[in-house]
Amino acid sequence: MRGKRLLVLSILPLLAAVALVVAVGIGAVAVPPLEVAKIIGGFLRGTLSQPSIPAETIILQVRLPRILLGFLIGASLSLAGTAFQGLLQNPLADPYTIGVSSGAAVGATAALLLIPEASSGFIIPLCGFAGALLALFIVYKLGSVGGRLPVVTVLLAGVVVSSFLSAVISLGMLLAGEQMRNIFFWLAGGLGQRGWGYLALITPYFIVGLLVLLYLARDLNLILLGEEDALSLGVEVERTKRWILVAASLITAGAVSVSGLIGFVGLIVPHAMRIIIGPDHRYLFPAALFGGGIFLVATDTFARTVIAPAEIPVGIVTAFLGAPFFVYLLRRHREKYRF
Amino acid sequence: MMKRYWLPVLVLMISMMLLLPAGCGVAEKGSGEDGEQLRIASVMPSNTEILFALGLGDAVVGVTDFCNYPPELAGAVEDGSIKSIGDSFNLNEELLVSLEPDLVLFGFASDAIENLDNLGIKTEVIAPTSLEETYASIRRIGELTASEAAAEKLASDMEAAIEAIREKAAALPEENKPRVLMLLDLDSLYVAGAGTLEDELIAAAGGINMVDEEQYAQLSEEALIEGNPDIIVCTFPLKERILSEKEGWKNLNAVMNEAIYDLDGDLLNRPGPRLAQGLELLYGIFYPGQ
Repeated sequence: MRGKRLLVLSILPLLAAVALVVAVGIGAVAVPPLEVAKIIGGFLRGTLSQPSIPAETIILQVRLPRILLGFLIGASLSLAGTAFQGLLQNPLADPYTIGVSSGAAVGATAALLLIPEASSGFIIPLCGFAGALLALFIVYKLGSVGGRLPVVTVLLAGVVVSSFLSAVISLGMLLAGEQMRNIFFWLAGGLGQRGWGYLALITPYFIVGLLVLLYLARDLNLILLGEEDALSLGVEVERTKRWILVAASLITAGAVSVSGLIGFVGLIVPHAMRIIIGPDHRYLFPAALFGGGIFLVATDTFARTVIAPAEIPVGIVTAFLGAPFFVYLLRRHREKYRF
Repeated sequence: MMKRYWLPVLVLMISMMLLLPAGCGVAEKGSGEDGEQLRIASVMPSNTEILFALGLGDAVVGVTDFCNYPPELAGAVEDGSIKSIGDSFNLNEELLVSLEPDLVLFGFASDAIENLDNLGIKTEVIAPTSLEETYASIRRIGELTASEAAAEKLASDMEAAIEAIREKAAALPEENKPRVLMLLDLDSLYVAGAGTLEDELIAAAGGINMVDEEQYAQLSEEALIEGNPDIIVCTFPLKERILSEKEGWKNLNAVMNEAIYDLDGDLLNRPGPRLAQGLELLYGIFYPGQ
C-alpha cells in the first residue's frame, strides 16, 4: 500500500504538469504549440514584458492566468472538501456545507447591491472574503459547546447558517433589479475574466491553509479513529479540530470569493482520491490538491473550448463529466472503499 | 450550494430573457369601439413606449417597474394615476385585475394570461424580435386600441427613418465598414450575436457585427482579443472599467482609438419606437461627421 501511495503521489504532479501544458495549448483561438512555447519562454526569461501581438496577449493575459487560477481553485476546493469530510466525519460534507461559501456569496451580493462601483477592482472578492470569515465566526460560536467543538453541533450550525444565508441571497436577488444578472453570474461561478491579480489575491490563504492541514494530517487520522483514543495518544483533539476548521474555511473563502460557487469539485474529487490512495490524510491531502487542480483545469479547458468562441459555465461541466467518472470509480472499487 | 440557487435563478433568468424583447403593459383610457375610454395595462417597457407614442398615455392604467419611458410616466406613477403592477417577473395579479383593464399587453407568455382570459379581460402577447416585427407590433397595437391611423404614421415614419440611414450606410464602401462588438456585460462577456435586434441595427448602420454566434452568447475573451473590434458599443456604462481593468485589451483597435461607447441600451434592444434613435447614434459612431 505504501509503495502504491508513493507511486500515485509521484504520478499526480506529472499529470498536473501535463494537464497545464495541454491546457495552455488549447483555446478558443488556435495558437501553434511552438509559438506557445516561445511566448511562455520569453515571458519566463522576462524578455517579453509587453505583449504586442494578439497571440501573446491571449496566452499571457487570458489563458495562462485562467489555467493557473483554475488549478489553484480546483486544488483549494478539493483540499477543503477533504478536510471538511474528515473533520465532520461526514461523506456528504463539502467546502460549501458549513456556510462559509454562503457567507462569501452574501458578501459579494451585498457588494453588488450596495456599492455602485463594486464591479471594479477587487471589491467583490474582498467583500466575499469578509462575508466568509463572518459566517465562519458565527458557525464557530454557534457550534462550540463549553470550549469544545462537537462534530454534530458544528455540522448543524453550519447547515442552519448556510440555509439562512441562502434565503438572504434569494431575497437580495429579488430586490436586485438590474443587478440580478451580475449576482447570478457570480453565484454560477467561473474562472474567466479574472487575470493575474486574483491569483495573487488568494495564493497566500491557500499556502497557509495547506501547511496547517499537512501539519495536522496525522492527528486528524487519529481523531477519525475515535476522539478518546486520539486523546489518550496525546493528540490535542479540540485544538486540532479548531485549526482544521479555520484552515479549510480560509482556503474555501479564498476560492469562493474569486470564483463564485463551482460545484462538485469539493465533494467528488476527495472521494475519488480516497478510492485511489486510501483514507490516510498525510497522503490524501496532497493527492486531493493535485486531483482537484487537474480536474478543474481539464473541465475548464472543455468548458472554454467545446462551443468556442462561446463558453459554457464550468460548473455545468464539472458535474456533467465528474458524475459519470465518479460512478465508474465507485463501481470498480466499492468493495474496498473505506471512508 | 449552487444547486440551491440554481432553480430560482434559472427561472428568473429565463423569464428575464423572455422579457427582453417585450415591454410593460399599460392600461389606457383611449376610446374603444363603443366610445368608452379604454383602460390598458402593459407588462413590457417596449409596449408601454408604443402606447405613449400613439398618444394613448391617458388610457394607460398600469405599467411595470421596468417601464422607464417616456419621462412623464414617472410622474404619473408617482401621483397614482398609473399604477405599477410589479416588475414583470412578479406581477401583482390582484392589483392588475383591480385596475379593471380592457386590454393587457404582455411581452412574453405568462401564467397570468389564462387567469385574465377566464375573467374576460382581453390579453395579447406582443413580442417583436426584429425591426419588421416591431413595425408590425406598432400596427397591431393600433388595431387593438382603435388608433390605426396614428399607428400607421408611427410605424411608417420609424421605418422611413431607419431605411434612410440604411441607404446612406449601404452607399459607403464595404472596406471602410467597422467591425463592431456589442457588449452587454463585462464580467460574463455577454454579447449580441447574429439574429438579435442589436445585430440588425449594427448592419443597418453600416457596421459588421464581430460576433457570428447565434443570439446572445458568452464570448470567450480569447476570441474577443483575436477578433480585434474597431468599435465597442456597451449597452450600459462599461467604458471606464474596460480602460482601467482590461490589461489584455490594450492592443485592440477599439481601445487604442478610444472607440468605446456607453449607450443607452433601451435604444438598442427595446423593440419600440426609439430604435430609430438608437440606429442614428450607431451611424454617428460608425461614420462620424457623415
